[in-house]
Amino acid sequence: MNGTETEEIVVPDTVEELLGGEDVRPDVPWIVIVWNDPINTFDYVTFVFQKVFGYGRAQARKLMLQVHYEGKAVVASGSREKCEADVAHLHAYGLWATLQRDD
Amino acid sequence: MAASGFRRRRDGRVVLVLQPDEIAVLQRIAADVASLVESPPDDDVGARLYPRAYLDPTADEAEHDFRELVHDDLMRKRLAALAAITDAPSAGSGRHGAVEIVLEPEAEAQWVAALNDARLVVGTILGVTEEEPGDYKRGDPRFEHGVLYQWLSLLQAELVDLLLGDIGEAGAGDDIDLA
Repeated sequence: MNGTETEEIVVPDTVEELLGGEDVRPDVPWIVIVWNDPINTFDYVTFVFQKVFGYGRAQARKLMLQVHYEGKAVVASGSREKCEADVAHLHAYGLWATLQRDD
Repeated sequence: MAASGFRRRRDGRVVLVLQPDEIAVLQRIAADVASLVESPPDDDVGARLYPRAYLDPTADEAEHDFRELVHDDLMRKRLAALAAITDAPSAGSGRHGAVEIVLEPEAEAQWVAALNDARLVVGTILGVTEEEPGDYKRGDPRFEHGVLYQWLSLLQAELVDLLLGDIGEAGAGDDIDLA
């Protein structure tokens, strides 16, 4: 987020805390891409993004529209294992998803 | 005659009302799709049901490992979802002989995913595009399947609409496992 307020930097107390939880680093090495296809509908793709990633409606719709108009969108990022799990999850819902190194 | 389709009952449960001939068609489609999910053909339909996870053609080893890891689970979830349709009651119990199927809350995601798999299969066979989404003219050899595709799309859209209402604007983040 590029807010105007100064962001507070939280320093983790322990290594466990540092390693645990969601990986929110912007420079994580793998990304999940969803590709446009003529079968999955706008509302269905929005539903799947909310369901699989817990995104709010606005974020899910924004990504869905990006898939539609730009042909693809990066919908998630993280470790390779997490991205593979995300891709499998999206495949279960019939979305055309792939993962790749973010370079 | 009760209108066919998904609706929300007063107690919050999702109900699907269909005519007996409609549920027969839907269950036959679901059974056909299940056999394709179980033995995916080496063609566009198979590739659409089980797309590559790695686009990079040199990543065959990673692709192989991915499939080893997830394929069986993915197939099992899909078959369970399609079974929610094929195992649903098919006898008329509602008014005027209509079939009334009450969805268990945990089956809602299965129904929507199974309807989508049916759309993927029929849509891929038809070769639908964004310019020509299954709405063929009478006399076109694809007309009958096009009508089926559009009917599946309508049913799915009704269910998606109800489920989007459940999730709300905020996003729940508590995905119910498809299995």
